[in-house]
Amino acid sequence: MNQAVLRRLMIGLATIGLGVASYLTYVHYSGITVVCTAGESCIKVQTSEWSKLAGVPVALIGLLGYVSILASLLAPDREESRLATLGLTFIGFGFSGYLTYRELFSIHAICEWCASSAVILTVLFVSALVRYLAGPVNASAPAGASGPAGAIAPAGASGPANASGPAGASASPNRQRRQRARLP
Amino acid sequence: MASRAEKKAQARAERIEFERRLAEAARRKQRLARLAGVAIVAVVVIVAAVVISSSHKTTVVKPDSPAAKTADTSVDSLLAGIPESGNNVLGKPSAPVTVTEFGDLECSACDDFAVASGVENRLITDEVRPGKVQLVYRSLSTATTNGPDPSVFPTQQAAALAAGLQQRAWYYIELFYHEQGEEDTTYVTEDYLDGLAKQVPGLNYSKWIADRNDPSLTAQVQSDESAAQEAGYDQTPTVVVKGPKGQAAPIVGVPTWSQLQSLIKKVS
Repeated sequence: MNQAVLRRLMIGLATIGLGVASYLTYVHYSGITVVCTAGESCIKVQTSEWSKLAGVPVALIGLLGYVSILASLLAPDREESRLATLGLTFIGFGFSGYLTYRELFSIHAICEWCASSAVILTVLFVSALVRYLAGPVNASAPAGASGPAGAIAPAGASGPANASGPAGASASPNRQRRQRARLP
Repeated sequence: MASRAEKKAQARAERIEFERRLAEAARRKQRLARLAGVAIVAVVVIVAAVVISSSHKTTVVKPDSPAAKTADTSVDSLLAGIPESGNNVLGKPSAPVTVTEFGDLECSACDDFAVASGVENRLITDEVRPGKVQLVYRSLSTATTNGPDPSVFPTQQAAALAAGLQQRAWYYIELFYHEQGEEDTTYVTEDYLDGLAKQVPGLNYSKWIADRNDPSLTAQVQSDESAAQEAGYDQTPTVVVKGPKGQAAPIVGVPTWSQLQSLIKKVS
């Protein structure tokens, strides 16, 4: 899939996730009853002891997580931003997986809002992984800073102009001398 | 036969191709290293979150433990000097506003209301103690019904009501919430209920033991549940505020202090 399309798809998914998390956060703080087609399941999950982490509502943590994911997706498309998206979605995927486990085996109820968020985070994580692995590497990566191997990267990418890079400069002085000697 | 220029061009192409491969390998290596770094950080964050989420309430507080003593001090300073009358009413009977909490002693959200959120503490300190509000506790089974042993519900609730016969129900309820175990476990045993009773200051333990067998207490629990069902309440905590100006719409779940305060003003 095209990188731009994948990114747009991920922005769409993260926006939906942000909506879900915002609604659950609003429900938590306003005290209204959560809309739920599965009877009391959502309320049971939302009022369980796993609905908070160190006193902070999980819904609010989710909201902040989605905001961070969206920010990383809306940032300039660089390897660093793709890596940030991957890291954030990995954390979201892992923690939502744990919460789903708690829903199934400790609370014995499934909250459809939480389940939908877990699905969104799973798709986001897989997409972020594909996007990172298939994505291009920054042309402006700090080649010199990453040692001899890294130094070769921009040199190879830029073809004959490699002499301007540290690798080229150190690899071909003899050849340069030979070329100069042949000049009239 | 290839000319010298052609050989040079070929060598150059081979060198460029070799460098390209090297660059590609280095890029892959760097990318994998970054990926591994992020994966390690993410795993650490996930594990930390899971540990924090799972670590609370895994053990039940023992009656003589430091945690129990802390709970004793906290509950005593909250309730000492506030009158309690029959049927779990905390506060002066002349208080114009009544706040009724429908709760399940095993429900973690009720614990949140009573302890972690600080809302009930503030209600007791700011409204009940000065005689503006009386606070009533009613039983409604939620977490216990959904847990491994629903049959313990009338027993545990009646244990609090038995303390109420000595005007100590709220001590028992508050201590239960302070020392509440993990939902969906079988921590509510006779030892646990006894331990709480022994922590209640001024409670005649022998009388409490005898009173626990009073069938009117379990009948009261059933009556509370029926009243809740009739009113359409099925979650805990459900908080009902009633005053001279009528009854406000119930708050389902843990209310915020401003929410509760505005309802009290509304019905006063």
